[in-house]
Parts: sequence; structure tokens; C-alpha cells
Amino acid sequence: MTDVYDSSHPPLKKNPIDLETDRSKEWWKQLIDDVLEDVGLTPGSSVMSTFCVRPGSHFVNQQEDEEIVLLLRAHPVTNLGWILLTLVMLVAPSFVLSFGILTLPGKFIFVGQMTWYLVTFLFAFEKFLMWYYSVFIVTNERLVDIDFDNLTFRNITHTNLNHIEEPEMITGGFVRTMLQYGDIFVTTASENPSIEALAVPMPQKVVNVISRLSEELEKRRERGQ
Amino acid sequence: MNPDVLIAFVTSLSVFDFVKWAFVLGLLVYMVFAVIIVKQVGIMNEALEDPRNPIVAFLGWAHLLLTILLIIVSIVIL
Repeated sequence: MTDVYDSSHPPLKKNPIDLETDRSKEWWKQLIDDVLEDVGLTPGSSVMSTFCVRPGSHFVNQQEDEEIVLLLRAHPVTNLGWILLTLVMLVAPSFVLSFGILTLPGKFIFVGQMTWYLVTFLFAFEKFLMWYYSVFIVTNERLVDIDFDNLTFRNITHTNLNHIEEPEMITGGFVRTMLQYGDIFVTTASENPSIEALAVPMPQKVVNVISRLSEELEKRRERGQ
Repeated sequence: MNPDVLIAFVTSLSVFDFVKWAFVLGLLVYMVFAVIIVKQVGIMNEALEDPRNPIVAFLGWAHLLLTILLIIVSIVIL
């Protein structure tokens, strides 16, 4: 009589049901890989960290099965105005003092100069923060728009990819065409009529990624997955 | 307080003394903004985790410390 139980076979590391569950948990990773491959994007950051693909960063309220696909900031060239103004502000005291207009004691001039440089730093730092923290995030589930408007006000908008109607891209003009950046507007069916990303690099690729992710999620929903 | 002492004190102040305390007062108000920046940077760093966040937080703290230093310098040398 043959043995019913043969202990020579190595035991399964995991129950098949568990393995299936693991695979279903990872479906979105495969989805992101497929979408990025179709669009021709590879993980990494470019254009001075304004176009980050799968950056591995995290944001507030991120869910467990959610991953950042794209993290976008405004193109670096949009900072040119305040950088030039900062440079002017830096040389302004030397320029004014060279004319000998101010007839104040030296210690007042010194403290005044230091205060001016501190204000200049504050101006530049605030502008940098507004650029650095104003991000547009595309995840495998939703779009997140974080706006840092000024020192005391910030705005975070979420839109589920299932709720978007149509992503739209607007670009034009010599500089925008040459440097490949533009605005993206996504119309939604939710309470927020639209969500926008202004002056982001490679807008056509971003729209492509959003459209494909949305389509894939819609297909899965129709299949009841 | 004897009014004569108060009058003598006020008349002994020069224009530069007023300017000095106006400077200090202005810098104290400015310090409030510096504190708000540090606070705001902390909140935004929690909102968006990024490897460069510590550098930005350092700049915020450096700005606050420089402001405090300038207030001290103003009180001492002016």
C-alpha cells in the first residue's frame, strides 16, 4: 500500500490562497510599470527635480496601497524672476552706499545693511518654499495638488482618478515650447470642478500617464476587480 | 515716580536712541515671521516627505537664529 502522506516533499512556503492575495495586493505596481513603459518613462528625476518618476517620496494621507507615480513642480525657469530680483536686492546696499547719500553713524549703517540682507534672504526663501512645496502628485489612485500660497496659507486638493473627466494640456509661446513645459487642467466629476498643475515639465507625458492610469482603473472597475 | 526724573530721562534721549529701539521693535516683529517660517516648513515637511527636507528645515532655523543674533547685536552696538 502506498503512503498517503509523503513527507519527502518540501512544504509550501505559503498557502496558495495567501500567495494569490499577495499578488492581488501588488497589482497596482504592475499597473504602474506597464503605464510608465507605454509612455516611455523610467524611474528617476529630471529637470532639476521638477519631474520625478516614482520618487519613493510620501505625502500626508497616503494610503497603504498607494504609490507616487509622478511628482511635479513648476519648471525651474519660472523662478528666474525672483532670482534676478534677489540679486538686485543683494547689490543694492553697496550701490546706495557708494554714492555716500546716507550720513548715518557706521554702526547704524552696519545694522541696516544686515537687516536688509536678512529681508532679502526671507524674500528669496519664501519664494523658494512656494516653488518647492507646491507640487502636483499623480498616484495610482488619485491626483493630489499641494499649493503653498504664502507663509500662512496652504491648499491641498485630492481627486480620485475614477472621478476625472478629461485631462487637458495647454502650452504655447516661445519659451514654453523650447523648454517643454505647460499647464495641465483636469476636469473632475467631484465637488472640485478642476485640478490644475501650472508650468510643469513635459505636460503631454503627464496627461498621457493620467489618461492611461484612469483607463486602467476604469477597466478594472468594470471587471469588478 | 518724580516727573522731573522722567522729563530729564526723555530729554536726555537722542534721535538715535529712538531709531535704535525702533530697529529693535521692527526686528522683534520680523522674528515672528521667522518663527512662522520654521513652523510652516515643519508642517510642509510632514505633508510631503522628501530627502531634501532637512536642508530646507535647516535654512529656516538658520534664518531664525540670524534674526535673534541681529536683535542682540542691535541692542548691544547701537
